[in-house]
Amino acid sequence: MADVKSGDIVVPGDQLCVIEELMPSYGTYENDGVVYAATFGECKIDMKERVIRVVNPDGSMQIALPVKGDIMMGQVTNAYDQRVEVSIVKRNGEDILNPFIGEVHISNVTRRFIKSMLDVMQPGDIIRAVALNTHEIPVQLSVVGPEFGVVFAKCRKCGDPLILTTHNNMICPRCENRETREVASDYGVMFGLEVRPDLAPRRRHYRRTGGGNSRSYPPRGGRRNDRPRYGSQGRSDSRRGGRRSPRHDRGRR
Amino acid sequence: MSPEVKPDFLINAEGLRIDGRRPDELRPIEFKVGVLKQADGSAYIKQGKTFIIAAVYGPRELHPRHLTLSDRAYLRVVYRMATFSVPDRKKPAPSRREREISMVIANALKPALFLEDFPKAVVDIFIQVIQADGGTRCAAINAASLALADAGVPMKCLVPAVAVGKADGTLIVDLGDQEDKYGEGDVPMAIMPLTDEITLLQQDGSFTREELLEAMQMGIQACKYIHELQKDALMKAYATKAPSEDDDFDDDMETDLGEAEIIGEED
Amino acid sequence: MGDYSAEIISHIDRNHIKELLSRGERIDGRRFDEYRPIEIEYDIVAAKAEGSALVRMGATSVIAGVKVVLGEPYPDTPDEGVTMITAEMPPIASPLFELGPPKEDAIELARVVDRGVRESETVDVKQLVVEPGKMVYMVFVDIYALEFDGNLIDAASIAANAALITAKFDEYKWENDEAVPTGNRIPVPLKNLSIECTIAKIDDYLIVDPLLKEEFVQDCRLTIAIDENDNLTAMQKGGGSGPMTLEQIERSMDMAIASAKDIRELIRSTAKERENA
Repeated sequence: MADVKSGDIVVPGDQLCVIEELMPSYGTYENDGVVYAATFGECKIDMKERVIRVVNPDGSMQIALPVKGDIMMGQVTNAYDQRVEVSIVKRNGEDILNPFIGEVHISNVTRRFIKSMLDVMQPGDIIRAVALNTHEIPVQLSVVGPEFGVVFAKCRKCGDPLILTTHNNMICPRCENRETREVASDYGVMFGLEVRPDLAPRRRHYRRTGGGNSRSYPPRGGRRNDRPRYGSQGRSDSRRGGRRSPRHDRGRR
Repeated sequence: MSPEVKPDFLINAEGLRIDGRRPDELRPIEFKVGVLKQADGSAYIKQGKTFIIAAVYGPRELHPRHLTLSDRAYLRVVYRMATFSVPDRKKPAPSRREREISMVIANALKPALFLEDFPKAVVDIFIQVIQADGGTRCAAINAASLALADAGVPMKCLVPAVAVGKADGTLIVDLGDQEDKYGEGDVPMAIMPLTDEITLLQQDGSFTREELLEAMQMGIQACKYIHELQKDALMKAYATKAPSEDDDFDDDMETDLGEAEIIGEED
Repeated sequence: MGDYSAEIISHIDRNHIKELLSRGERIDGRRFDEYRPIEIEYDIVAAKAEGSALVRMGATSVIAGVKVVLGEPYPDTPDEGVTMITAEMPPIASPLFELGPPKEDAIELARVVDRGVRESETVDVKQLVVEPGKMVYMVFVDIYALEFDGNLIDAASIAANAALITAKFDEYKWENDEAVPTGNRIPVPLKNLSIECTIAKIDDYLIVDPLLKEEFVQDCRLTIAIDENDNLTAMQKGGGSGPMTLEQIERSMDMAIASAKDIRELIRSTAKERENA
C-alpha cells in the first residue's frame, strides 16, 4: 500500500504512493508513475474514490485562492449583457486586500428568465455570491439562492443608495428613479438601509388602493427629505402591506 | 562603522576556519515558518549572523497587466537589503546588485514550482535582508522556498541553497562575510534534492575544473542537510497549526521524522 | 488597486464598526483609549547596526535600525551633528503596499516620524560633533514595516526611539586632520524621548491605535508627538479629509498624553531590562 497513511504530515517532494494505488488530487503531483506531495500538510486518503490529497488539518487548502463554496463579497466593476465582472474583497468574511476578479454569468443569477445582466446588476453594486470553481482566476460566481445577490446598490442617475420597495424592485429616495436588481434577502441591512414597501408602485390588484384611480401613487408628503435614515425607525413598519411582507421580514432578521 | 581588517589567514594550522568551523561545516541555521501575519506565506532564516525574512503573496492578480503570461504564473522576486544590514549604511534605492540577485533567485526557484497551474496570475516573493553576513542569496532561497511552501504554492520539492568557496586553497562550505570578501572564490548553488538537479549556479574566483566539480559535490551534500532542516521547520510550523485536541500528534510527528530519516539513508 | 479594495471594504464595514462604537466597543474588544499590547525586541541586527529594535503591536510590526556614520556637517550648522529618519512601507508588509518608489503615505510616515524625533530634539545634535565644521556623526534611523495592520506611525515611532535609546557607536577623535577611533563605544546622546500617539476619528468617536479595518473607515486621524514634559512637539492630521472640532482635538491631546506616558515607561523599562540581562 501507499508509503503514507491518512494523517501523515508531508512536505513538498515527499513520495506518497504510486499512481496505481491512488489518484493524485489537491496538493500532489505525479511524475513517472509516482505520486509526490506538492504542498505541505496532512495526507488525506479517500479509499472510496481512491484519491490522495494534501490539506490542512481542517481539510482546507493552504493556498490563498478561492475554493468552491466560498462565500464572497465584492463590487461589480463592469456589467455586460451576459455577465458582470466583480472585484472580490471578502472571502468567507475575511478581507482580501488584493481583490480577485470574479465573474457572474447570466446563467448563475436566478432560475427565472432574465433578459440581460443589466436588469439585475449594475456597476458599483456590492454583491454576495458563492464561488463555483476552485483555484481559478477569474472566479466563477453564482448568486442563485436567497442569501446571495446584491446587498447594496446605488442609483444610476444620482448615485444615492437605492432602497428596496418590494422584492427586487428599488427606488432612489432622492430622484425617484426606479430600478431592478437581483437582491439578497438582507439587502441594505449592513448599510443601514430600510425596506420601504410603501414606496412600491401601486398596481391594479394592490390591496390598499387609496380610492379612485388605481394607477395613482400613495401620498408622498415630504418624501424628498426621506433620505435613508441610518438606524432610525421609518414609517414603513406601520404601513407595510401584508402581502409582500414575509419575504422582507425574513431578510431583516 | 569601524573599518574592517583583513584577517591574516582564513584557515588556521589545524585546518579550522576563522570562526572555528571545519571546512565542510555549516553555520548554525534556524528556520521559522509563518512569521508574518499579513503575508500568504512567510519564513525567516538565521544562518550565523545572516537574518533574512521572506514573504510570499499570491497567486494573485498581476498589475501591471501587460506582464501577465497566458500559460503560467509570473514569478516576481524582490530582494531588498535593509540600509542597516551591512557595515556601511546602504543607500535606500535598489541597487544593481539587488536586481541581479532578485533575478537569479527567481530562476533558482522557478524549476521547482508548478506555475502553469495559475495562468495570468503572479506569485510575489519579497525578501528583506535584515542583517547580512555572507551567503545572503543562498539564505534567501532557503527562506523563500519555505515561504512558498507556507503559502501553499504547489512545488516539486523545496529548494535548499548553499555557497561553496575556496579560502587558502581549501574548499569550504557556507561562506561567512570575511571568507566571501577575502577568499579565493565563491560558488553559490541551489539544488532540487529530489533529482539533484542544480537550479542556481554562479561562480567567481579561480577554480580548477576538478576543484569546481568537487565543490559542487560538497554543495549538494550541504544542500541535502539544509533540506532536512527545512523539512523540520515545516513540521514544526504544522504542529502549531494542528488542532490542540489531537493528543497523539507528537507521536505521529516522531514516527514521521523517523521515516524521513530512513528514506534519506536509502538514497 | 489596493486603495480600491480598501474603499469597498470600508464601505461594507462602516456601519458595523460605527454601530459597535456607539455601544462603546471596538472590533477587537479594546477600550477606546487602549493600545494593543506592545512588544519590543532589541538587538535584532546586533552584528551590523549600532542599535536596532523590533516592535510588535498586534499584527503590526516594524523594525528599526540605527546607523552612525561620519560625515561633513551641513554648512549652516557646522557645530551640529545630523539625524535622519527614514521609513519604508515595503510590499512585504501588506498587499496594500506596492512595489516601486515610495508613495505619498510612505513619505508621510517617514516625515511624521522624523518630525516627532527631530522637533522634540530627542537626539542632542550638539554632542554629535567630532570636529566643528569638519566632521560630525550622522545618525540614521531606518524603519521598515514588516506587517501592517494599522497604526504604522506609532509603531515606527516606538521602534525608532527604542533603537536610539539602545544604540552604541564607536567614538572618534580628531587628530592630524583625520578622525581616529578611540576604541570607546558610546551611546547616542539623548535628552528627550518623544512618543507619537495616533488617534482616529470615526464619526464623533475618538480611538487610539486604530486597526487597519478602523483606518479604512476613519474620517481622519491625528498624530501627536508628546515629549517628556508632556509638551506637544509635533502634530499631523491625516489619513483622510474629515474635519475635527477643537473640542475633539482637545480630547485627543488628553488621550495622547496619557498613552505616551505609558509607552515611554515601557521603552525605558524594557531598555533597562536589556541592559541588565
